[in-house]
Amino acid sequence: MDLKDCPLSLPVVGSLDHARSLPRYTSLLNGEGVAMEELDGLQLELELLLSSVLVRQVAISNNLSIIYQLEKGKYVPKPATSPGKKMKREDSDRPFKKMKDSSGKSRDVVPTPGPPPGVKPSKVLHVKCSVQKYEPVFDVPDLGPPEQPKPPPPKNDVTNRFWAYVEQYCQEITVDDIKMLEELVNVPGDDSDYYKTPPLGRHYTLRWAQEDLQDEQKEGLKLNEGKKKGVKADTPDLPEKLLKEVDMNGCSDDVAPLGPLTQRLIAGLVEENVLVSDIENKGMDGLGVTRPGLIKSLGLSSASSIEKRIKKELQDQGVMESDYGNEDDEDEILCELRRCQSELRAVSQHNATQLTRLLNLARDSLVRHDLKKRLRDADHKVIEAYRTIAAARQKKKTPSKKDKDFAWKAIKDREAIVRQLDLASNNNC
Amino acid sequence: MFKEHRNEDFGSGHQYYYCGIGGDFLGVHHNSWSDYCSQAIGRNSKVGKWPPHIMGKGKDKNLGSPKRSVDSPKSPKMRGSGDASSSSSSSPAYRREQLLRSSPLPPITVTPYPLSTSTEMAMAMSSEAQALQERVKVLSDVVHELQRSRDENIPHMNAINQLSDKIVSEEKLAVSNRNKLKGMYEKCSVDTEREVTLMKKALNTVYQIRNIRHDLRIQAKNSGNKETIRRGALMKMLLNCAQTLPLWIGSSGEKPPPLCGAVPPEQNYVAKVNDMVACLVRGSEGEDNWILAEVVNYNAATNKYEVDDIDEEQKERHTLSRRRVYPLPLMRANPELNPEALYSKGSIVMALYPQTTCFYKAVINRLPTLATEEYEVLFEDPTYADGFSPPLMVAQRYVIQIKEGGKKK
Repeated sequence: MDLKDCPLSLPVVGSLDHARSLPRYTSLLNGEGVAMEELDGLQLELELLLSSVLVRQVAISNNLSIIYQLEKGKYVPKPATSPGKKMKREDSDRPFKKMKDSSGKSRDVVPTPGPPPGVKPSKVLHVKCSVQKYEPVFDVPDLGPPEQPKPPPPKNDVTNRFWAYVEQYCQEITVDDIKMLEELVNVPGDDSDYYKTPPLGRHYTLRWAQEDLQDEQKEGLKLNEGKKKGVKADTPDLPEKLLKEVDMNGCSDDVAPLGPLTQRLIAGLVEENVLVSDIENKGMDGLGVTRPGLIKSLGLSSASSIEKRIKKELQDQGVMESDYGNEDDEDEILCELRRCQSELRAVSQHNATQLTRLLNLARDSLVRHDLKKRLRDADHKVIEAYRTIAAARQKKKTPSKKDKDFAWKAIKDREAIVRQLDLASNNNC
Repeated sequence: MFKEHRNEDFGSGHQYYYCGIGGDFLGVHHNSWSDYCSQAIGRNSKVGKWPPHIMGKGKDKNLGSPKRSVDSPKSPKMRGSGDASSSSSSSPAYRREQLLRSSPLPPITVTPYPLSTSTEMAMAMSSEAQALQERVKVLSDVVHELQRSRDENIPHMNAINQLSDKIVSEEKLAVSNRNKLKGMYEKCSVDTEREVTLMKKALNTVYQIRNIRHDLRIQAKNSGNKETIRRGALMKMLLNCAQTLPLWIGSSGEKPPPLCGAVPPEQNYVAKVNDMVACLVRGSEGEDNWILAEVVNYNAATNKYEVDDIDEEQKERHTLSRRRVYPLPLMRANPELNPEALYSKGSIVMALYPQTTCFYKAVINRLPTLATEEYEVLFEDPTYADGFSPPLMVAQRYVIQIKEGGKKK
């Protein structure tokens, strides 16, 4: 058997060097006896010694049991981790014959020579997996709750995070900031879409009915396809036909698409007929219902255009005032839409003013930053001048005229900058 | 952080603890013991644990900065290179398993049990003293026999190593070598068993001697020798108890029993009289603290313990329900053989703050690798920038499972 496939760990066995590690034990051996005070130490030394021997014992018994397994011709896999007491359990789970040297490379995959009948490669792998999976399960009950790994203590970086967060609000204003503000201010107010009131669409009950119908059609289609294929030819037309019918019904049956003016007008025109028909067919109600062909007979394409035309006619005739009939006021959705639009208008206006204000402030402070930077330079110059003069004084020399001039100049420059700075901040305040 | 902070009376009678920080205090009581000093550094840091109202009372200027930087109390004892696990199968070449550490074991330091001369004398004059001497003789004999047996085994183990090396150099395990190895292992196994038996015998003798001495101490104490234990002595006593807590030795494959290391006690376990426990006690200021105490009595009818505060100066006896009492481990777990009986790194536990008699929440930072080593823990301490104390060493005995119900404020 190749050593690299050998499950034996061939431990380096040996004895603890007591002369080096266990002084009290050694002194007891040398006949020096043991004082009562040293008993505690002796105990610990004996315990360590015992522990080291037990480690040896475990290792040897593991290796020995592997050898026994090998002798019986069983294949023992190389332990992935350090050999432990689980060895025996693993052994019993792996009833494979010892492998020959030639097949050593594919040790983990399939033991080719003579696996016991009935054990298939796939099962081999399965057994192996399950052993590995179960291992933690075996251990968990022993460990108990405190053994579960807990996350390491979190570092307290709250302060750093805080300063990083605050930093962006305190840093100096740059040209980039101003650019960004300008862009924001100049963004074309593309809100016009939101101020439009879209025209009324079809009533939702109609749309839903249509959608339901389409869904049902689809369902039916599927069923039909499953049953017979002969019907297939007819089906594509069917939904359209039905939809058309629905549309027509919508026009004739439902009163809703007729505008209020149209309704009133028709009511005025056909009132008597309705009465008559009321008497004739008790229980019938609604306009147009009694006369399905009415709207169609008027030859008008849609209800809204009729409404518009009637309104226009009435206004032209002077029957109705132009601003009358804003019955939209009663439309809840429209009211809400208008409210939202006005809100949006207010907010965007506020935003615009704030942005311009910010932009102005930013420009001002950019100027001030500039001044401050110059002030810092000036400060440096003043300090430099002071140092040269102080150095000269230390050497008991009067400072040269050049130095003096330089110092005066530095001080005056600085004062000028300070004045500018004051001016700038006063303007702002 | 000292238990005094359970006391409202802070000013009087306790000067002893904080006068001459780091210098006098240590010098007087722990002169000869270097380890102690390093632990005592932790004591300064603990100042930061004092409640704010105490910090403000003017005493704190004696205490030094709470954030004084603290070195790792104990230098990390050689780890890594020679470790048994590190050499196994990480490199492609075959590596033999290394059982022994290449470097010598760290020196064992034990805190001596503090005894006054009068107690010592009382013990020496006792009739049991004779019995003690006999045991020591037995111990000496056993140890000699043990060493003989160890010496005899060395040549055989060398032979095993030689054969193993030969196998490694041949890069394959021939059947003849395998049989040879088998025979050697079998013999070695028998030899080792003998060593183990002798060692257990020696250890048992040591435990017997310790027990006799313990009884004697109690006798001496009860026979009118009523000196109060000073705080320094108390701390030494606690350390000594923890260090000499018996090591659990199981036969191979045996699971560590309850109360060995991190293994929790059984559901209905009742701590015995004189056992040490951690218990949740409500202080005079209404705050809850886990303190170290000794069981005086257990009333099975009411499910209540009577415990004595270990700190004699507190002179307090508490009656507490079972829920508020948690027994300390009765045995140490052996990291070399039963690592599963240790708390894992990063576990949250309750640990005895060094130089105090209170348990506080802590995170395990490093596990012991030898039976004689201790846990390195980080105590939760808001006075430090990262919210944790510097690493401190705490013995296995004083690290217990955290109780969710009894959170301290």
